[in-house]
Amino acid sequence: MKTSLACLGILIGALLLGRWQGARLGHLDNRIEYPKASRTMKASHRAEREDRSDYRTKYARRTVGTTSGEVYERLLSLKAPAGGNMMGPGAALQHREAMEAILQLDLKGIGELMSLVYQSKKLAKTFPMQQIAATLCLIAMADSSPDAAFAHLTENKEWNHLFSSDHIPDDGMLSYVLARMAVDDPQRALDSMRKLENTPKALNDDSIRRLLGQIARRDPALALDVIAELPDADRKRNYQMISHGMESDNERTVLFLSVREALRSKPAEQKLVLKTLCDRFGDSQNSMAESRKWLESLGMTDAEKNLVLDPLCRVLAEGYSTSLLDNARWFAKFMPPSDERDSLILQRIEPALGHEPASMHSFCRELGIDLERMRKIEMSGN
Amino acid sequence: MLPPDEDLLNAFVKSHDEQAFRGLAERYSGLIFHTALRTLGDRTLAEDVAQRVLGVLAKKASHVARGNSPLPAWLHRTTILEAKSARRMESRYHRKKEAIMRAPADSPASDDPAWKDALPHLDAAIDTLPESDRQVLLLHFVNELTFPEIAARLGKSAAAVQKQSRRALEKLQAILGRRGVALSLAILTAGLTTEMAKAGPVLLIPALSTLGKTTTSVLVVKKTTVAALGTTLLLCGIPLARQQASISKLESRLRMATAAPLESRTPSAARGTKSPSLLERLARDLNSKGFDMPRYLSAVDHIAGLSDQEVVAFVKETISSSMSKTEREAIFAQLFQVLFERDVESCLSTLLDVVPADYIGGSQSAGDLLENGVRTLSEHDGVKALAWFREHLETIRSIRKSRSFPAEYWENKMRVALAYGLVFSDPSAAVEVLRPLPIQELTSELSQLVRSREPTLRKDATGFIQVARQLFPEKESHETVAELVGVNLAANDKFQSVDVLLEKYEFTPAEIDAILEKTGKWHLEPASREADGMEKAISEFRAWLESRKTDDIDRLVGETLGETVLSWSRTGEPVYQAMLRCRELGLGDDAILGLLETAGFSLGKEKSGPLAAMLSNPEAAREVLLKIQHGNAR
Repeated sequence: MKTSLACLGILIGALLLGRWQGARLGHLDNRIEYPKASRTMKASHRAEREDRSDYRTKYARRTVGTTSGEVYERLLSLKAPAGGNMMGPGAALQHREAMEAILQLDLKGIGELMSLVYQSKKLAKTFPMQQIAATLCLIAMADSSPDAAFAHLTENKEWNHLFSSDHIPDDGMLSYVLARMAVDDPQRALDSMRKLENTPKALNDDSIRRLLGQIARRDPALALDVIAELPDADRKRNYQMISHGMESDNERTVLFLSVREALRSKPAEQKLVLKTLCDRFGDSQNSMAESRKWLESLGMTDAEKNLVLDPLCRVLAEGYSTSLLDNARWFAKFMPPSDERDSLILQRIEPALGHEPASMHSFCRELGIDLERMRKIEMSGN
Repeated sequence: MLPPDEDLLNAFVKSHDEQAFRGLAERYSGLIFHTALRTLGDRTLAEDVAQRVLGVLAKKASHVARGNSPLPAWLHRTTILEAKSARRMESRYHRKKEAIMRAPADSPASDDPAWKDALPHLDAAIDTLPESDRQVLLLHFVNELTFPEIAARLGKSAAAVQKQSRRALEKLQAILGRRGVALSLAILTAGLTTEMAKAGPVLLIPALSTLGKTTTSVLVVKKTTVAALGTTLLLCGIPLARQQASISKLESRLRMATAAPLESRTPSAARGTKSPSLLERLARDLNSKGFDMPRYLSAVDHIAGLSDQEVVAFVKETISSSMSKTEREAIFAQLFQVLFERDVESCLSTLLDVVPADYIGGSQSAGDLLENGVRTLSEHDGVKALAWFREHLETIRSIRKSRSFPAEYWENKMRVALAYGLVFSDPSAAVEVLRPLPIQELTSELSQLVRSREPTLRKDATGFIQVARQLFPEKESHETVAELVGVNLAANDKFQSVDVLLEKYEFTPAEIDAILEKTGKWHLEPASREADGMEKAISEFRAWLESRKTDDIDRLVGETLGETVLSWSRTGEPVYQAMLRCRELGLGDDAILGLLETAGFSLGKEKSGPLAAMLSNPEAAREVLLKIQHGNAR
């Protein structure tokens, strides 16, 4: 008796241990994927930073001995373009020659030029050219050292006074500088953003969301951690922002893996991000084949697939009837079997095949859909 | 003399002294074995039980050493419990019992038949004795201690122990008597003396002595048990071990993956990453406007320096690339921006010739480019624009936005874009171009055209008026012409600017009515948040109409107020409050009738009733209320 109980105990113990080991294996599999994809993405961003010199000539910093005084003289001739002035970073688009000239200075030179701009009575007379000149200087400073530009914005009352009577750092330029910082160092950008928490009106909610989107492109796990700490009401919009902000499949893949890891215990939030990520199916610019390939590469679990049933069923709504059946075949193969899946497929293919019962039956058989049963379910549902 | 039990037990507990345990085992193996044997009647089982009891002793030695109960009493009780447990498991008990009883080697020393009958019940009977009585009997008969020795151990007098021993024997006699075994005290004493002092089987001692070496719970196990447990462990252990090996492998890979320094790899060597092409880098940099302006400007400048052929080559590469939509849209827009700035017509032709129709249909930037391009072209040279449109009409018709948009979506868009310039340069051609569009879409598009071309219309609206008159039936024509009010209201004095408009062009009476009504609406709506503001606005509007010597002023004011109510539901209450004082504002019955006929059903019965009651003609009041009621019922 005791021996039997002992054997049973060992078996139960082994079963439990086996299950734990299985879960651990799955977890490790996911984690091993993340650094792989993450490393690819980081390498891509690194390449992005390094290859700018390929065609960057006019805006590359030169060592031709240009002085801040010379550049200041050129700024004095700034004129308002036809159609009105753009303020904020957009000013660089309207004053490209001035921008080009300022970018020839090193950090020290830019600092000197800024002092000249603040004290310039000539520029003050040609409103708003003093602000525009200061903005161009700050863009150049951020290009050279985002940290220096951030410190300048938050600590230099003279600069802020040009833009606001209450000395609040300019939201547009703060966002620009922090986003620039996030390109090189997302964590530093985040820390800097947090330094502004005690400065009222420094960054509005939209700017914070955009910055988190920028951080997420570089380090999705970091952005997810930050969003997890936000109040419920803010989380949804931030999750959507970072999902929409992903520009390449590689970035989307890394976000997917990060979400799988970080939001494992929060299915509602996981669903939200995954749905937004899968919104590309409504996007006719991405070919269906590319989107399918990307989805298949993710190795989604059945539960994850079910979370994105809604956006994925758009695959059945887009395109013309010729590709509809092909899309339905893919959808049926990709999604785990369920009445909901079959119902969605039937809803879409009935307009195309409903007038040909034989084709309809044949197609349903091919997809493994029990047409009669589904119709009964539909009737009972009605 | 052998050391006392307590010393041996403590020696075993403290230092796992094998000799000590062996001493205890030798001392009590007889008691244990024979107690078990008597209880079970099976020598094999009794040996098992004896081994188990010694195992329990080894396991619980520290507990026994701490307890108050003398060792023999504890052993006797434990043996009984283990024996009972063994008996429950062994159904052979009764069969074996007889065999035991028949075995001469195991018979009691006494030959008395009554003693033989008593043996199976003896230990159970001893076990039912009170603890102190049992202790005295076992110390006397098992340990063979004299009464003074027992007295010394228990802290009593020898006489008291002797008396207690006798009482215990009497109790035992009575217990056995109740079980149907009648024994005299003499036989009982003689039997106990023989039975309890028996030595255990010699074979047991070495086996038991080894127990002292280990104190684990699996000290004593049968070979079969070992085999069963071993097999189970083996069966479970192998897959678990293999799985654990996989986990260790993955953990090691993860450590390597996370620890590998990024710097040790060149970007292009990173797994799955190939060096981006120039086009991809340009596209990516064009998306960096929000965070890296110098980089964005570099990309813009680089594209601006490309030849037309290079731009077209990049366009083709963009379409076939696997870039994301955001990247594709960015580069696509910039490439065509360059062509657009060089030559609009050539840019548009390139767009339609090089870019597939389905790509244009799904691209925001391509769509915007097409629309802006045709507008610009028609604005600069309407004839050229019309010729280009006719030449490319088939291609334009092949562009589909998506299934949810009508097939002619892009064709209509292009027609409206053409009218953007043609309305001014060639109104007849504009009418011809716009005629295929549905009336509803046309009214909306021409309203938008008015808003987007305000400066030009302010200079000359003749073409626009001509297009509206030729394109629409009467009502829509008047309302479209009246849109011009919006253009002229940009001036500071609204009424004065409309006066200028009315003097500048020859409008039909119906068009003038529509313009006056539109002017009234533009004037009344902003003031209609409260009754006071509304009253003032009505008075101003009425005064302006009087200055223009307009006919049917009251009706015009009433209808305009009705339109105001309909166009903005929040104005209902202020208009109603103002109209309750219509007599003070100088408004007559026609104003009330105009309001009720236009917006009576929207004001509702509660507001319409009091207003109708103000009419001087009760018949007209009844009639208008009936109309409202009928309209509401419908």
